[in-house]
Amino acid sequence: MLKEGYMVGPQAIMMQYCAKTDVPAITLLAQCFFNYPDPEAAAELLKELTKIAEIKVDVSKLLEKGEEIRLRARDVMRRTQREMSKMKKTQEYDIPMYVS
Amino acid sequence: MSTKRKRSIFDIISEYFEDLQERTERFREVLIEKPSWNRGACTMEPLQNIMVTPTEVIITVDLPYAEENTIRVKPISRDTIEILAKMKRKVRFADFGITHYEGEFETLHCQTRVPVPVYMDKMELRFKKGILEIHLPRKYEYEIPIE
Repeated sequence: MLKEGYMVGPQAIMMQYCAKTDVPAITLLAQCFFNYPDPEAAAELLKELTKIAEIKVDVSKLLEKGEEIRLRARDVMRRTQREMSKMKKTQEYDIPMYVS
Repeated sequence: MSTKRKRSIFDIISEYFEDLQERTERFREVLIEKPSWNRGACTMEPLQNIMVTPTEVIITVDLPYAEENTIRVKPISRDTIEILAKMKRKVRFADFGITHYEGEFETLHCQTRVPVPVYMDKMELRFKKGILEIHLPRKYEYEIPIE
């Protein structure tokens, strides 16, 4: 559980909108290498979601096909990395100015 | 009357560098960019990332399907290393739904340039969950004294 900190990007906007409109919401984040496709991290998140939402999600195929997904996603990921540098995506990692 | 904001020297320098970066990118895309596979050598190029810290350079390489005992990391010059790994199974273009090319791949291969001087002989390797981590301690050849 994130006790203190800040969020940026689309998740932050969705959380803000949910807070404004009184929609219960939660963001699940998994640790991963941000520049490589990581199906295992996605599977870990889905496992947590099944506990919270009490729904059944079978992640076995995702884990089984993990290596294939990583191999297939290489070129897309390479282009994404290039586009992200053009989008100044690194601004998301800048240290914020607020002082508590 | 409309007032036009005068651009500062910093805006001009920043624009100049952005333009230069864009031109370099375009040049690279046209001349240097190549497919991420080599049909003749039966190799595929894995994704990689370099991080430079004050004490070391960390290179990570995503090696899906790699057999751990076949991973080879070799320095091929003072600032370049070569990474090779055999894959657990052969991968064909047809596996990706590509029908206009034929070819199969059994090795992951890439070369990486290290941007700062390092001790190649003190290289440390870790392989966990399909990600290879290469740690290279940095070499400081000289220091500039602060007066």
